[in-house]
Amino acid sequence: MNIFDSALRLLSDRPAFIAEIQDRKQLNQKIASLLLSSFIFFALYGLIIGSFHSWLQAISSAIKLPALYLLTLMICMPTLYIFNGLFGSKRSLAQHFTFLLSAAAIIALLLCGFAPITFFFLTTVTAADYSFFLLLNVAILALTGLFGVLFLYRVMKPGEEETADPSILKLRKTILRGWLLLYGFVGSQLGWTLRPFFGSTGTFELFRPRDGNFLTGVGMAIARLFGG
Amino acid sequence: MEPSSLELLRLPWAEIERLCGLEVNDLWVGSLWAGAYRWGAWRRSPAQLLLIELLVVVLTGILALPLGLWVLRHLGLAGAAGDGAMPLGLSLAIAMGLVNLLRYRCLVQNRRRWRSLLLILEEVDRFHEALQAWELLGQLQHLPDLLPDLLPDLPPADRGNVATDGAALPEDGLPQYGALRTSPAGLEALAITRDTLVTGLLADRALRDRHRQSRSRYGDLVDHLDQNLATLNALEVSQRAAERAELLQDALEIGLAVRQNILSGPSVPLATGRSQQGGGLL
Repeated sequence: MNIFDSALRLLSDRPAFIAEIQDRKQLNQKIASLLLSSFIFFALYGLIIGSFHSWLQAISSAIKLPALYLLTLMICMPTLYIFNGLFGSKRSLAQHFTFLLSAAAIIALLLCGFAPITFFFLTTVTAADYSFFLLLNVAILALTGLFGVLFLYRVMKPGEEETADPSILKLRKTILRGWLLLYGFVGSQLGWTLRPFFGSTGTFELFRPRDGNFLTGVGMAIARLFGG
Repeated sequence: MEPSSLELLRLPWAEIERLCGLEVNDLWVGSLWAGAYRWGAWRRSPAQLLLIELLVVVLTGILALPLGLWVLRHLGLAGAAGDGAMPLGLSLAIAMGLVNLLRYRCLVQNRRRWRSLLLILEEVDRFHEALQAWELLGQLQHLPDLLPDLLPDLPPADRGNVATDGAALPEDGLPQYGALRTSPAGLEALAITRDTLVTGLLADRALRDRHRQSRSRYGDLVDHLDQNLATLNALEVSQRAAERAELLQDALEIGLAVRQNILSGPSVPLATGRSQQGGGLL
């Protein structure tokens, strides 16, 4: 078993990989491979964004970024599985988990793709450009997250072969869309709870006080960037 | 020996999984979290396994971080740990410790439970190695046929020497490849080995399934063993009491009968005796 095997197959041979999940082939191996490779990729990106502040923040972010993505996935998975099961899905919990981990692995791979760009800005901007660096990374995280969510929607969308009733089919699509929104909402809130990932100019902080939410934080960063 | 025949003899992972009913790969059986490592996994790829174990330990710690934080707060240690990196470190350590303790317990138990399966899988690996060697032998056998294309300038005698790797040339100077030829008997032996391995995997699965069934069938009996023993004990005591009561009843009846005999007339023979004796004396 190669740790990166599943992630590489997601890049090079995605349809066959998805078909294997549908056929329940080697699910445990895929889960292990996707979890470990996503963990490494997220930790790597966390290390880069944390090093904007200090090495302590880099280590902290290398732990917190994988925790953010993987915990969000685990928190939201039971809702999707139970709702899908209620409306006629025959997919097992392991299949759900593998699909969700595939989406997480796509996000992690895309983040790794952006890593050289982030690293370039890390080396060229100063500590005073904290808001710029923060917003740049929020944009990267949002873009990669969007691609991951789109991938998940495409592979988990119920097909016409699953149910003959068009109303059930429509309902399940609506549930999936709603769940994706919930996933994004839980993820952003957990991200806000686990912050800082970048670390502002002050001393190292493991966690910040629980005030405000993700959107107010982004709004304040935009105001600081343009308002001076 | 045709490579396609050898491919037919090979036991792919999917086939092994179908036969043994568990997910199998070169490192573990079942799953990485609650399965068992293969016997030869640490020997075959120690560095890879060490890396995987390290990642799994850290990852489980991170994913169980809320559990660690909860334990820390529940024990009242959150405040004592300070505000810096200490609470996170402590929570991570607690979470890693708790989750991995359970995981290793499960791994050790499964290793014992699946001992025969793990041994058969090692034999399957050896069988595949033998197939590879056989395939290589077949390729070497065909090497002299390919040499004219690969090395057109090489004299025929040298081609034979290259192909047989030092094998003695016969008197007529033509090379003989008998030592390298893959015989049908060897192929048959490989087919028999394959059948034996398949039978072994199926037998092991049947035994495991039967063990599980018997465990569930007699599970109630085992679970209520103390209760059943107490019931049996009570029955035995009750039987003994009944026997004693019967004995006492018999003794009482005998006593009453004797008393009856003493009080009523039948004391005649005794009285007669006494009177006879008494009379005699008087």
